Amino acid sequence: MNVLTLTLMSTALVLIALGIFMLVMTSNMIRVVLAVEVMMKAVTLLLIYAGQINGQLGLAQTFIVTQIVIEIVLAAVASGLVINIYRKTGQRELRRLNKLNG
Amino acid sequence: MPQTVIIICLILSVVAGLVCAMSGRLMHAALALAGLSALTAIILFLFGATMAALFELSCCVGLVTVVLAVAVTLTRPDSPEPETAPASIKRFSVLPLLLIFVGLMLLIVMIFTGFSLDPVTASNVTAEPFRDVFWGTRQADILAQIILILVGAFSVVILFKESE
Repeated sequence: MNVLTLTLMSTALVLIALGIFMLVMTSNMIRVVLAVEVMMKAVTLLLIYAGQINGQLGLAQTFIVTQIVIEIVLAAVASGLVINIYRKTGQRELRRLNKLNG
Repeated sequence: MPQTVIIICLILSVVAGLVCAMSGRLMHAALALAGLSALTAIILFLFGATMAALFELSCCVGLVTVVLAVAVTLTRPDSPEPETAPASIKRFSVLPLLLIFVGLMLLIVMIFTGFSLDPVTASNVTAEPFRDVFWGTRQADILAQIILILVGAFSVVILFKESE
């Protein structure tokens, strides 16, 4: 394991830990989306690492492009949900959303 | 040289992630996420994944940041409630412990299980080009991406449909 590998793995683990920390500690809906995005960056780093050690960078890039598409759709739909919930309830805190009014 | 630049970018990525997690303002957190995406794009480019870097730069840095910035702007309350300093410090006191725990886990995995990772060399260039893999062998992925984009588009249309 060289320095680059160690730094890459540590960065990915720290980013996943930060994402989990954000998910656990916040009740803001936009911060939840940000947490998922931060964790997805870690997944991107791990995918490119896997492509490097297997010598299949083309395959890794294909997975990364698919992951980016998922990331964009997630951000768009989640932001739309947040805006709609804010318009209807005036809240963006998850803990205050305790009613399922139709 | 590229290895040093990659390591610097990785360290800056951690800093950007910390800013994103600890920032009190949502807009600053969204901008930190954009910085994290830009650094990821640089890392991808230095590893030789140029097409993935291009997608990361154009979509994640551009599109996702704009979408999140619009969401932050449209859901901004009229009277913001400033977070008090003691509550903020108390909330982030868990973070160093979490990071130390992650480091210890990495060390335990490396030392006690004999799990070794193959070294990464930034100069490795794959013989199989992205074009051939993407259009030749991963056509199901293209179909899945098209379906995902359509699902996202229809979801946004339905979410913002005016009620009759």
